[in-house]
Amino acid sequence: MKKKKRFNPGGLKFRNEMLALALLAPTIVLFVLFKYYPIISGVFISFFKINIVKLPGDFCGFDNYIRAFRDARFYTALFNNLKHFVYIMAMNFWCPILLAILVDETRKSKGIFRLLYFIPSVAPAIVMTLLWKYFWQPDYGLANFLLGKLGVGPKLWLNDKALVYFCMYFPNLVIVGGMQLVYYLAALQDIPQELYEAALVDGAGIWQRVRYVTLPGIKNIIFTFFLLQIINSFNICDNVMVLTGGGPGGSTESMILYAFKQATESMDYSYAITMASIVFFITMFGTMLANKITKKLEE
Amino acid sequence: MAVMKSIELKTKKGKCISVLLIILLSIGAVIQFLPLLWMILATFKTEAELTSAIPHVFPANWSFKAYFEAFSKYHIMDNFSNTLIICASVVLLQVTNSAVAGYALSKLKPRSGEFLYMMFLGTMMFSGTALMFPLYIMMTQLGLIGSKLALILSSSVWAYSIVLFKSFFDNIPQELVEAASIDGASSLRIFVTMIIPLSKPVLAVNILNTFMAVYNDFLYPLMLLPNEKDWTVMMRLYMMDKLGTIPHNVIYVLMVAAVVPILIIYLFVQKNITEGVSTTGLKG
Repeated sequence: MKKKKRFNPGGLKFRNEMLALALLAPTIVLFVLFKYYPIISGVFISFFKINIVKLPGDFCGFDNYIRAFRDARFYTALFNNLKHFVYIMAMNFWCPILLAILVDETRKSKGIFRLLYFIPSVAPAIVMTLLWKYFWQPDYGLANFLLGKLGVGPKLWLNDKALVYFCMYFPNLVIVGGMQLVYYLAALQDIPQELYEAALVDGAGIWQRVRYVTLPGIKNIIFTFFLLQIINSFNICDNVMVLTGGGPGGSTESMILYAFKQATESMDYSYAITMASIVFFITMFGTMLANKITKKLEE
Repeated sequence: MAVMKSIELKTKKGKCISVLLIILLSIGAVIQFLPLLWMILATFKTEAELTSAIPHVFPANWSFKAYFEAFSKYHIMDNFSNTLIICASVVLLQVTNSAVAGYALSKLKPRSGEFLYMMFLGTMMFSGTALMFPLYIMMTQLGLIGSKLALILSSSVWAYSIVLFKSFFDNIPQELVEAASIDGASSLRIFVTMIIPLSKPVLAVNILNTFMAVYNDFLYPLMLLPNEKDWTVMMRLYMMDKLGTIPHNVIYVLMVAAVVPILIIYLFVQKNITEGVSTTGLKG
């Protein structure tokens, strides 16, 4: 049957081909104009000393890259990005996984808990960030007041280098849920019931069943979110900008935030683009590497 | 369907565990709402109350002054209309294009389909931050800085939407489409009268995703819309906080107002989201 269709006369195939291309045309144009052109021109501009009036300016080879690799502030920013990543992993990443497994155990009330944990997470990130910023405010914030009730002296929170990362990622430790929870819960429903029964027959306890059945059952989605987290960690900018502006003393300034400041404050677009390109290469390389490793592990 | 078996739940230990679990999760759920509640209560407080070292949960005098000020003196409605114009345009442009593209790739299967799909997918690796500065320069050249069009065009495509649509359409049997086509329906008519009505969940998910992404976006407007009259809600919030002279209760009003539209939309399409998540086959 299949073979016959390929030789189907009447020009239907041809008409469909033309229609498909016509339908795809606007999307192709938009992708080329607003995705491929900027990314290529970005890499292109990173080899120039930009002149915004007469683009692209003067060719300068690898000067911008050399400048970045000699810039101590750039290294600090890179290190800060890694720090953001470590804190997110330690304080945020595992929470929705644990929550999903717990919610899945409640059976009858699963739907209501999913909704209850989902609703607060729809609040826009900037709103939540500002709310917590006022919470940590040293003079009149709630954090110091509550700490005072416990008999502990006030802290500087976001102005304290030792505490600032903790303060940044503490909110998502308390307010878990959201889209990730929904995805994890959906994945949990797909684990075959027989696997649990087999584990039970083998005398596996609750923890062992979680360890050998549940977690492997949702490992694909865990890995997907892990990859997204790597990419996000290197592209962190807006919440840092709102919360600390990169402070105290540049201790939270991420690469993109540094690039943003270079672009908007010093009007140094070629250096900003160079740094953004470096971040882009790092994340692209990192994702490809991570994909390769998992493919190897699965074999 | 879960780790613990129903037989186990009937034992004393099992019952204890499940009761404990429900208590624990209920406490957690209440905690989720406390910050939001605090935010709402703060809108009724005076500036003196909000900057006092000893905060109170409830306002001393319930006052709606901050609401009046936010709307009449600080004109936050302008920011909402800016955001709405931008969001609606992007949703219209992006969701329509993605749906059509997803249909063409999934059901019409052009010869270059494979290549084009990879071309779209490849852009998922381009983070928004890598595109931001070149886009700014591009928009400067086009003279679009300070125009909403700059932001709308910059967010006009998203490979993820196409992926969602295509994988959803892939699950609609090809035979169904072929049967209709034998009956003489054109491919375009099949799309409009047959595919679209079947695609409510995926449409809802895409509209919501796109709306949220644009609504919450903050860096792009900051770069592309320097004039105060074009500021979106998120930008206005940031600027109000940065300025440091705006009364806190007004900022809190804007925060509450920024959550309301999203909350309403979510509650409406809540069912579709979970349906969309499980039917688009993206859960791994």
